[in-house]
Formats: sequence, C-alpha cells, structure tokens
Amino acid sequence: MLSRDNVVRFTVEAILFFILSAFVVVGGILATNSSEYTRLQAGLVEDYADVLPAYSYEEVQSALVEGYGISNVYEGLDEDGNPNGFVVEIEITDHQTGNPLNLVIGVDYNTAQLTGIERAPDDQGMSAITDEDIQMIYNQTRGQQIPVAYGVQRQDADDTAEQQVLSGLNDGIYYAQTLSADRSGYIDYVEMSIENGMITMVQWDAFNVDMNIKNRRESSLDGVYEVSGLNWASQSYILCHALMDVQNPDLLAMKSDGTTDIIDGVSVNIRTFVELCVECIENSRAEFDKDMYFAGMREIVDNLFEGDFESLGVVNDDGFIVFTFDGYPGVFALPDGSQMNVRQKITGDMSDYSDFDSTAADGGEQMSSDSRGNEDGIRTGDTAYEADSIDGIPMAEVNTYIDGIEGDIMSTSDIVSAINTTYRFLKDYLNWMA
Amino acid sequence: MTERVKAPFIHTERNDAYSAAAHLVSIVPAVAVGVVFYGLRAIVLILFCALLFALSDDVCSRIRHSSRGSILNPLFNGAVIALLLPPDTPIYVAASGVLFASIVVRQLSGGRGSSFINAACAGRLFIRIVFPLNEAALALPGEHRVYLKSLIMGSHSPEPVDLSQYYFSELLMGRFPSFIGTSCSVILLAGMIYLIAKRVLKPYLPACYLGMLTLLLLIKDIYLGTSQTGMFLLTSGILFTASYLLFDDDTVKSFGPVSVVQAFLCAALTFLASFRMTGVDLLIIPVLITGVLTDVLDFTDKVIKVTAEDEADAKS
Repeated sequence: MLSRDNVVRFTVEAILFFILSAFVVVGGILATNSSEYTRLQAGLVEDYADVLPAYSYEEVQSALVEGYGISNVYEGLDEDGNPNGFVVEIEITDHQTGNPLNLVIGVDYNTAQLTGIERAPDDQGMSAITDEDIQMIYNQTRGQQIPVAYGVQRQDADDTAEQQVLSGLNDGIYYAQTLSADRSGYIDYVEMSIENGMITMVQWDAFNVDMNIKNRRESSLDGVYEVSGLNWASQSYILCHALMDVQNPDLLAMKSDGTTDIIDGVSVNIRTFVELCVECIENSRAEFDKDMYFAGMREIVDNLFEGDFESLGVVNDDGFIVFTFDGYPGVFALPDGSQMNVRQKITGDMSDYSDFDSTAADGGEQMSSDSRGNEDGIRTGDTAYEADSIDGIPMAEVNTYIDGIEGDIMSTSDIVSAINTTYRFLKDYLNWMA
Repeated sequence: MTERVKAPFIHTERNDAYSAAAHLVSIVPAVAVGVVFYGLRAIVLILFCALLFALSDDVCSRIRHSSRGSILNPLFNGAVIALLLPPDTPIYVAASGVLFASIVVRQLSGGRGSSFINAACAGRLFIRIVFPLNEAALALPGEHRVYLKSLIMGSHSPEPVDLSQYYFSELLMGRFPSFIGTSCSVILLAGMIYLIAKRVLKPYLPACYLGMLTLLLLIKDIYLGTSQTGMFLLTSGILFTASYLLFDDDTVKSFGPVSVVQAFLCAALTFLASFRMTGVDLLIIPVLITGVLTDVLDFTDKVIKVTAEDEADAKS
C-alpha cells in the first residue's frame, strides 16, 4: 500500500506532469508550425507546380467538395498572397476499365484558362488512360478557357445558342425588387445586365428590413439562412446562370408550386426570381434602367411620406431602398384590383411582358408567357436545353472546343469530364465568374 | 562463505505499490501527448483501456479468490495498451486486446508477477494479429480533435507520409502519424527520467538498451551506406519500449547483471527485427521474446543449480 504522503505526492506530480507535458507539446506544436508549413508547401510545390505555378498553395475548405468527386482543392497564391489560380485534384472513372483515375487540374484565377493537367501523384495507375492521352488533351486545351467540349458537339452548340434570345431588349442594367418583405423580412431583388440584346449577367439576392442582418446570400454562406439542398447562395448562382443560358425566364420551367425540376441543384421556390426577372425584362424593353428604378422608388416613398424621404433612413449601406409597402396596399393598386410595378407606377405605361413577342432573334418560334407556372413545369419552345449540354454544362457556356484523342472518344470524354467538373465546382462553390 | 540476503522485516518506501504508482505517473506525459495530438478519442481510449484492465483484473481476482493487489498496475498496463494503439482504433478492438492481456495472459499464468511475458505487449500483439487492418487507423496529429466516430467505425489512414521530408524538430516533437503515445521523443525521455528519479528504473538499463541498439544501427549505417539511425530512434517508438515496456516486472524481474544482459538481448532483437518489421511489431515482439527467453534462461539456471546441489549432496 502507498502511504498517504505518497498518494498525495504522486497525485500532485501527475497533475503537474500532465500540465507541464501539455505545455511542452503545445509549445512544440507552435514552434514547429513554420517547419510544417514549409515542408507542406515544398511538397505542394513539387506536386502542383507543373499544373499551376504558384508561390504557395492554400487548401480550400469546403464541405461541398466531395459531392463533385474532388479530393482536394488548393488556391495558388503569388508572393503577395494574391490568388493566381486553383489546383483541383479530382477522381474520375475510366469507362474503358471501370478503374479510377486521379487527375490534377490547374485553372488560372483571372482568365479561367487551363494551366495544366496531369496524373495526380497518388494515382494508383489502374486506369487505361495513359500519360500520353492526358498530354494530348492538355496540348489542345493549354491556355484555353474552360469548360471544354470535344468533337461533334461544336455544331450543336452553335445551333442552339441563338434560338433563345428575347426580342426587344435594350442594353443596360435593369433592376427590380419585391414591394413587400417575406416572412423572414427579406426583400428580394434581381439585377440584370443586357448587352447586345442578350442577358449577360443576372444577380438574385435579398436584403433584410432589419439592416443589421446580412443579405440572404451572405447569411446562407454563414449557415444562418438555411434551405433544403445546396445553400441558397449556390442555388441562386446556379439559377442565374441557368437564365443566362436559356435567356428566357419561361424556359426555367417553373411549376405552379414555384419550383423547377430541370435545373440540377435548385430546389428553392423560384417564383419571386422569375417574376423579378420578367419585371427586369419589361423594364429593359421600356428602357427603364436601374437608376430610373431607384429614382422611381424614391419618388414613390417620398410621396407616401410627403417629402420626408431623407429622414426615413431607408437606404442601406449598399444603396438599396429598404422599404416594404405591406402597410400601404393601395399604393400600387389599380382600379380593377390588379397591381402595378414601379415602372408602371412612375411612367403610367401599363405594357407588360405579354405585350411583347418572346420570339427568337431569328424570327423563330413564339414563346408564351402563359407557360410560367404551368402545373407540369413544361417549357415551351426549348427542347434542346438538356440534350445540348456537356457534363451538365449548357453548350452556350462552353468556351473551348477540341478534337480530342483520335479514335479514343471514351478517354477524351473522361478527361474532358474531369475538366468540366472542375469548372462546375469552381463556378458553383467559389462563386467564380460572378 | 556466508550469503548475504536482505532481512524480510526491513520495510522500504519503494515497495511494489510505489513502483506501480511511479510507472503510472511516468506515462502521464505520453497521455498528454495523445490528448493534445488526438483529442477526445485519445482520452476515451486511454481511460477505457485503463479502467477495463483494472476492472477485469479485479473481477478475475475475486473469481480466483486471490489477492487483488494494487489497482495502479492494471491501470498502467491498460493505459500502455491504449498508448500503443493507432488513434482511430475502434473501442471494441481496444477492449479485445485489454481483455486478452488481463484474462488470458495475466490471470491464466497466475496473476501479476507470475506472467512469463509483458501483459500489455501480449494484448497489443493480440490486436495486431486479430485486427491487422487496424494498424492503418493512423491519423495526422492535431487534426479532428473532437472526432469520436472512429471509436465505433474506425477510420481510414491518411495518405502515407514520407518521414524523410520532415524537419528534425517535427520528428522530435512527434508531429507525424503514429500511435497515440509513442511519437514524441522529448516527452518519452521525460517519462524515463521520472522513473529514474523515482529509483524504480536503473539508468544503466535503458542506457544499455538504447546504447547497444544505436551502436548496432550505426554499424548497419556504415556497412550499408545509409544514415537512418537518427530517424529510426526518433520515429520508431523505441523510446517508449525503453521507458515503459522492457523493464517491467514480467520481463526484467530484477536489477543486476542479468537485467543488463536482457537489455542487450532486447536491443539485438530489436536491431534484427528492424530489417523485417515496422510499426508496433518492432516495439513489442523483441520485448516478448526477451521475456520468454529470460524465463527459459532463469528456469535453466535454476535446474542447473539444483542439479549441482543434488550432485554435491550425493558426493557428501
């Protein structure tokens, strides 16, 4: 048996020993952090410098990486710490053998150009796709913008891209916001850029009536605002790009419940988005741009409060007019009970979306606005949306066409899929090209 | 000639319980390393193994109606098994090793002090043989400290690492994938020094073991033209062997010339094992063989002595 003194002594020694040891280990960790960083960077440079030269590489932490079959994503940084590109390690299946192939793909940050593609250092070499095959694809894509399509797909893409342009659009930046807040206090808005009669940029977000709350996109990225499926910011991004692809909100195939089945990753109710897009299109046709919209909003609120707009403090830090007309139902009401929008209220021009032909630029088939919100979500006019895509990317978005590996369409397809998956990941999750 | 023996009525402070307590305190630094590096799952594994070993020992002793002895030694052995495990080891795997060590090795061979081999090493070897895939359940130190799923599901090992790329300071602090408590040389040395300071470990024993092993490795380096001795000493975990495995009651039963021979023997066996073995095999198999050989030599020695005495009696 231990004496009482020994019990006390050993207990005290154990506690002190633990604390001291923990301090030594933590101190050791802190002291060796720089060594570890240097070693890791040396390893990364050795592994990735060929696909994306960079001064250092930082791992991109995202829980959504795995969904793309991506093993690792690194952001390449220059000496000043500015990003110069991404390195994506991705596993694909070689469809000739069914075995996995690990590739490393480098993409330039500013230009979206492919900077390199090669077999990953940890690839097991089980695939029938050779280094020569990979090099052949790289030779055709080096310095080219991703995504990539190969061989016969080029003609199809060219055929479909022009069929979806709405008529009567005027170039400029157009804007529309909801006139009342949703249950969470968010006021949705859509901003749309139109160049050469085509929709070139769409942004859907929402600001809150409580100006201390971040906008919906930021809140969703912070995990504060949650929706089913992908986070709201990603869904918004995908939806905006889908509209840019099809150029017509009718073709988003919104069902009567406000959802759509045709856009992968989008499960939120898109009714507000579609309605705001339609309003932007109407504004474009009426040449009622964003500045005019803001001035109109200001005038309406000003009139409501008899010239006391400034004292209301309804303009947030981003310049949006944070005002909900929930308490003023008569402001936009027409005698027949229907509602005007801001442009109609300001200009008195009651023309709307249905007054224009949603025809293709080449005088093709007519799109009916009635299809919006149909029960089955059927899109009219466009039947080629899904068929004319590669790896889930609309052909209209494809920037580079290659011939691929002669006589080996399967290997070409596998490698191109890896490149395009990289594109989809960067586009969707890093909010790239936004 | 008069043979001088200690009188049985002389009591010393450094009794069996004192030795067990010192051993238990000496592994506290290794436990701290495990906790800092691997977080909650290391805490759970160490506590679970230690308490299970103690409980099993107690239950077995009650069943056998034998003296239960100090709880400290079973706690030490259980913790040693845990410290020799990969951090992502499932709890049932750890339990199997602990129960094997406690019930099969210790109790069936007559209880503590009667075992012919180190019980913790035997328990760990059992896991090694029955769950060979578990050896890959390593993890990077400092990652996923609050991860507990591996206690049920196990886990995949990280990418294989090339230790030659590591800096000396990283190796010294044990910042590489290894077992829970075997990687940090600085801390293991602290545990060893504590045991020496408490006079439950003679300094010449680990010195003999480590010195002999280092010498043999250096000779190998010179002969084969490699320079891996330093790397081996820092990364293999043999400091853990020198501190906690080799010089326990079951392997080295007494201090003196015989124990020095045992230290040299274990060093030679570890050296030979290093040609073919890696991982935990390198730490426990030489110790187990040394334990068995020690008992064989001890038995042979006693037989020779008894025979000689009988012959002397017959002549007289």
